[in-house]
Amino acid sequence: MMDLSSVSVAYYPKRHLAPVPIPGRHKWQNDGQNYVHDREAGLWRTWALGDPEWTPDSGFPATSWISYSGPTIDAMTSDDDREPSGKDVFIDKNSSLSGTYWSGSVWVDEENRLGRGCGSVYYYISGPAPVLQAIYLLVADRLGEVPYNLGMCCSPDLVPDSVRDGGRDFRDCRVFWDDDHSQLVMAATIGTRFAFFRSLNGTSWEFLSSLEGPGPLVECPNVMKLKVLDGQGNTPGYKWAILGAVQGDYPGGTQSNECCAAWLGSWDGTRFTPDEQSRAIPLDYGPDSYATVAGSDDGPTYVGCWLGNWDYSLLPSPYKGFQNIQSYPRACWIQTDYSGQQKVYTFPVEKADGITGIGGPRQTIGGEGNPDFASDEVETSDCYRLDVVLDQVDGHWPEEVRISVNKGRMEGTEYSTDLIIYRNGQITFDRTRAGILYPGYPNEPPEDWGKTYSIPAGLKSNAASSMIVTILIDTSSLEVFINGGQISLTGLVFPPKGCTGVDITATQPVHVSVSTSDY
Amino acid sequence: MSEIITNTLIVEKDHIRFRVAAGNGEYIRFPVSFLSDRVMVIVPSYYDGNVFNICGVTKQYVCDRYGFTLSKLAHNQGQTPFWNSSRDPVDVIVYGRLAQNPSSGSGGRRA
Repeated sequence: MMDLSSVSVAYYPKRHLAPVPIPGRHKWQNDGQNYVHDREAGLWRTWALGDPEWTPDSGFPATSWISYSGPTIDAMTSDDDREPSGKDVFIDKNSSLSGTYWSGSVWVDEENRLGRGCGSVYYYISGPAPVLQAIYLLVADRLGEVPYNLGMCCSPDLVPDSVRDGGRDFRDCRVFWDDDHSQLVMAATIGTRFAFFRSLNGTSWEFLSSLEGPGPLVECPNVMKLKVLDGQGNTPGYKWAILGAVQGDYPGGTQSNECCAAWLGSWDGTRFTPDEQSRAIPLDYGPDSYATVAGSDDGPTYVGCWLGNWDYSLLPSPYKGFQNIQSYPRACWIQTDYSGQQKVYTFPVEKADGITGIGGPRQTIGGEGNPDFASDEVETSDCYRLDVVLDQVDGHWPEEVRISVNKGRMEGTEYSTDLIIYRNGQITFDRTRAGILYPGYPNEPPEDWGKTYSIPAGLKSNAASSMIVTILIDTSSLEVFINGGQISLTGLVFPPKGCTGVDITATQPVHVSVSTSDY
Repeated sequence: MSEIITNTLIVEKDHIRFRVAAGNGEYIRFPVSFLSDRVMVIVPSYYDGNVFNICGVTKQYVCDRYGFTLSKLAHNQGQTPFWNSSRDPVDVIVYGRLAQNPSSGSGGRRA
């Protein structure tokens, strides 16, 4: 058995978000909160639910809000040990009535619409109040300042009995300023539905409407206008969307039992009406993509997620020091895909210096006489971006193309994480040989850890003769993007140290161009 | 709507006092607005010769620079306590940050 003390915090992510690790502790985190641009400080900020004292024996985490910040959206890091709190939580759970804060939303009143001053900050945070779940309002004069709890401002009592779900689930609110109707709007979870509320003063709320979801639970509804891009990258308009999350199986869902999903439609100031073909379309088919977060500042819209899965995230992580991570921020927009359907695209934000790209010499692999692509042709590490362009040969796709990353041999065993692209368009993520470490190690892997996850058959490129695969590799995760963000697949992996190889094989000839870069 | 009792508002440097007719669950708007939401509201309990009224802030609703929602629970000498909707006047003390020369409202103390 491997000596776990030697791995300690070795899997701490280099480009993904996690609390500053402390060996021997777990420093739990789950849902992230929205991305906010702090114009005064010149920082991007986000938050997550964290419980630095959590241990696997202590049951469900009692979470505070932890914080992250950085000069650009892709350069945020943990605020642990920074001012103003100087400790590893930003909003202490003990300022709630029941010792736990859950997900919420941060809204900055840049134009003093509600009278607390320009730049005043409203934190709407859900929590298990003593009787029912409810939403607290906390305020601060500016971002970065620890906010003050004013009490509860929104509860299930506001929701009509016909949609109230007995008040059992009422949480995960997201707030946006509805400029068209001069009102602050809150979307929240009420079990199987999203509920919408409005406020004119930020403190008292009125129920507007609800939207039934496809599964037993829908959460984290980010309601926003997204840019619609045409094939040339122009912006002919905007469209309303809900970027949320679904738990449970549903037609058109994923194999992970929980996923980030999008609804496209219209918002009339009272009701969100989804397009018939755009209800709860998965954003990501991987096992570890949940609790959608979003944000913008008069520029691109960004989206992210929690890399975790409730099927195993509460099992003790063998790597210790921290437990669970947040995704690398992605730009998102609406684009018409190969089938003529509008959908939400997500793609890793470009580095500020713009150095990312798709290139590399083109070669033919697969079939008789053609060598496989091997990692000695590109530079790899435990954190980099890999771009692979596949082009058909003679108008035919191979039966199977396999992209293997984190590849290597250790103590006589071959390790790799595989992405298998089938001729019918199915794309499968296989981490069953990814590593010797997984949550709960050294016991048997959790059921949902040790299986494959697929994007359903039928996915084709916009240009049917080619496909672009972009993979963000970090020390403990992979994020896979197909065709410039048409769909993604995200998962945690814990490859043995030194397993950083890349290998691409095909059952029949296919052209490949491979490049690697930092991100 | 709660009613501030005429001539009961007293404005000090860092707090105000006033008397208001309000029952359990009523929203009480401060007669003077504070500059910050970091206010501390104290509602003294009192005995009216019949029941003992325990009063305070209802944290189910927002308490900010503008006002708060009253909780008023009556203990009836060994009988079952009840939420008291009667509008017997209660005293309210609110600590917080005030403007240097706040408007004292009707009945306020004159400089």
